[in-house]
Amino acid sequence: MQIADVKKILVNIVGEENVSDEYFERICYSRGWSAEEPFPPLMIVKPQSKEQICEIVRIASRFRLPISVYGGNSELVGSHARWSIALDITGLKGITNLDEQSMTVTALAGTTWEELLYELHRRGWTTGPRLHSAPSATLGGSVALCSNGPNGAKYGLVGHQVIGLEVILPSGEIVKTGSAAHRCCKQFVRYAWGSDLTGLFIGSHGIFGIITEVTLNIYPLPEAEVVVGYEYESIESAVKALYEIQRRRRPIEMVRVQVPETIELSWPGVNGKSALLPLVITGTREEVEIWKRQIAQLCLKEGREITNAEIVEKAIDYWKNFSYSAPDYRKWAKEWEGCSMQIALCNAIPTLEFPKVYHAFHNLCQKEEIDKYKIKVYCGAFTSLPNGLNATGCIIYDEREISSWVKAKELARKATVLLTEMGHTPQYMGRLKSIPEVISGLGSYMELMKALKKTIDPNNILNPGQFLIPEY
Amino acid sequence: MKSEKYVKELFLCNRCGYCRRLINPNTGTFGICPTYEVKGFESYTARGTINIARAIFERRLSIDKRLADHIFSKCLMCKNCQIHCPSQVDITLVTRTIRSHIFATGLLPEPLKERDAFIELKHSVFDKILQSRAETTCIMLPNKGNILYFVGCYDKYVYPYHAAATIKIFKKAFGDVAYLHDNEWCCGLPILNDGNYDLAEKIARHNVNAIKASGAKLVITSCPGCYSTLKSEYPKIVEDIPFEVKHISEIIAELIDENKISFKLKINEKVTYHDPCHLGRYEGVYEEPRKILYAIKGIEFVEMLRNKQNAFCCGGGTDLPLINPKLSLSIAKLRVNEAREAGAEAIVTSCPQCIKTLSPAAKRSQIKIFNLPTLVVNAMGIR
Repeated sequence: MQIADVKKILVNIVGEENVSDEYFERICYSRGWSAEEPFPPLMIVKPQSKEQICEIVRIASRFRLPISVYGGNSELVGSHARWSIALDITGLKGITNLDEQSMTVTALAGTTWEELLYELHRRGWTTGPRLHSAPSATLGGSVALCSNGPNGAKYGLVGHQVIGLEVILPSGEIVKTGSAAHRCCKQFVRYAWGSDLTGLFIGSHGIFGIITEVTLNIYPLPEAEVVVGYEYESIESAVKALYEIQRRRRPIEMVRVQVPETIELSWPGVNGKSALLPLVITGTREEVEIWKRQIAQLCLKEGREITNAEIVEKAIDYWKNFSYSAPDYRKWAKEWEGCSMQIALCNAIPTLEFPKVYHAFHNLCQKEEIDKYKIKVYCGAFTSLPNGLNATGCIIYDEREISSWVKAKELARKATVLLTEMGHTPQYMGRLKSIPEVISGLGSYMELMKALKKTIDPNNILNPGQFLIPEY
Repeated sequence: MKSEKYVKELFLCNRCGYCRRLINPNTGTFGICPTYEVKGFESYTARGTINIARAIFERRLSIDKRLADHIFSKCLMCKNCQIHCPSQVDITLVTRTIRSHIFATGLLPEPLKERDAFIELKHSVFDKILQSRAETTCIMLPNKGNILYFVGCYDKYVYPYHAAATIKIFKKAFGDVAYLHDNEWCCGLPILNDGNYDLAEKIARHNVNAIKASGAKLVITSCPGCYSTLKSEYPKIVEDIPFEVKHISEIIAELIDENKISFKLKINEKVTYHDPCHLGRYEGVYEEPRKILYAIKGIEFVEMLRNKQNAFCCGGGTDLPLINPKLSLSIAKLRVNEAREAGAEAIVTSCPQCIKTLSPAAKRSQIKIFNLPTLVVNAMGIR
């Protein structure tokens, strides 16, 4: 089948105004936030309804046409299939059900986090995690990659908050997971009707189905919020304090372990310290006061509270605008006129392991002689989990220099292998982290994934190439 | 195409995609790119523009007719993405640079080619039939004086009654103001936006010399496009500009402060104000028009959800109606709907191009459109 024939079929389904095979349009879908080299899709189709997606998927299955779903295209790891049709689902947006009694919200997959949170906040609710890239990241994409956000200390990863999904399978059938799988039951509880099929799709990178609706837990907006900061003579002391807080399950919302390289960036005015622990505590006014005191007791064992009002105010601003983190690392590249891109290697680690990860990452970077390639690095951490941290090795490079770009990617792959071998789990894979040395460690788990893929998607049309799953 | 600043802008974009849609935390309104709101494809966003520009720069994409047409219809240069960009990419510069490259390759869309040729020949955007209407309004004005009215193509030829109203305000406040007559050429903004820098420079030099010759120390415009071009673009092209530039809304606001004008009649209308991009985002004039509306008796003022720096473009930027009238009308409808949702019965604006673009959509929605100086003159009760 010729590409022109495919276009004709797609135009019949969604209308001419919703299909484009213009090369310049394809160029615009050729890369997201990631450091992957641009690779244009074959065509872009913008369905306006679930029924249209079903039809598209049936056609794609019939003719074995690969499909890659596009949301906000804010992914960091290169998670779109090559030689595929880009299915842009941003036309499917909005809240479909806010069930205050069940404390859940259901929204279409093309809704951005910012749009969802705005609507919820207006009604006095919030979701658990909110993403760093909330203005562009869509619900569908963040579930498919199981993304995380800064306030995971309280709520965990996106996946932890998912109650159920609506998914279109490669056969074109619509499936609901969670309690609403049964036509008589409302979407209320995830673990129902046997196995947790919701989990099959969370973090799947879209290889098993196209997520069209997401149901999440919602929580009342906290009445009060307080930001406190503690400074430490070593990263180890800071992490120890954080571990004590987590061990006692104190309800902190956000914590970021600030290392020397990032202190000046985020906390201007605090110099000469080895680590900072800025924390956000939320709850009722009374709860916040009590927890603030309890947390202070733990943090003051080896640390000192930052009392400078101006600095604390800046920290509050920093937290409030945390989702707009994009310009943050640009401050690092002043001498490159701000022309910098970032590879953020996110690894889930137990909190106390952070100093080891920090030093291992820096040692690797030193060994790789990054200074020769216009590369800067830092290794920070934030609480993406109630029981651990997201250790983020950030590789900042100058994309104007090919050598800098190539080296940054090489370094990212080496660091992923190193950290995985140290026992730290990469968060979301994409092309960047789907490395044979890493995937090979999955053994029979990977074999099961492949078997499931073969069963659910026998023509391998959905996002082929992820997790190094070969094409059939 | 390879100026250092241009290349820097291309690599400044980190592809976050925040230029697609953003939320105003106070109002919750979405959508910053008018063409993306209507078309929904990535190439309409600022990130799309950067991707295209980089592909051209890296020779992964060559310019052809289809791309040229797209580049000229995809962006209104309303600057809404630019002021919301976390990396502060100068998207106006990037768009103008791609356009200049297209201009150099001779692929400028036909309607724009014709318009530019007309400007070069007749020094105005509009044709001869309209030109016959022009001089009735301004012919009596002297060609020299301290204060000069730079009328602009729209108010001269399409809306001469706007110019007449503006002159009435001047007469009340300052007596006669100067006017350049045949020496007033189109400000050159359309030419600049087409990337025809040589002609833009020629026009700028002519107008600056003509203003200098008039002896004016203050130039007042009633068109935000002319205002922004004279105030911010000319100094980049011509050295030593010995005059100040103000928009009529700034002048009226000053006259109110100084009690030099008063409003005798009531205007019983529920109105909203549409911020023209070149007056608002380009030059930061947001408060003066509102101040004027609040000062007029009888007016009930309501804000649209997207206002001031978040204001949505009318759909007329960079003469989109010439190239893609359907798209322009769809954008205008969105803006008019917003006014209706705010409960307004009329939209007031201080830009003739916005009035022209919004009018067809407003007519369908039975919403009135007022030009700010005309409204002021009516409220002043002068004839």
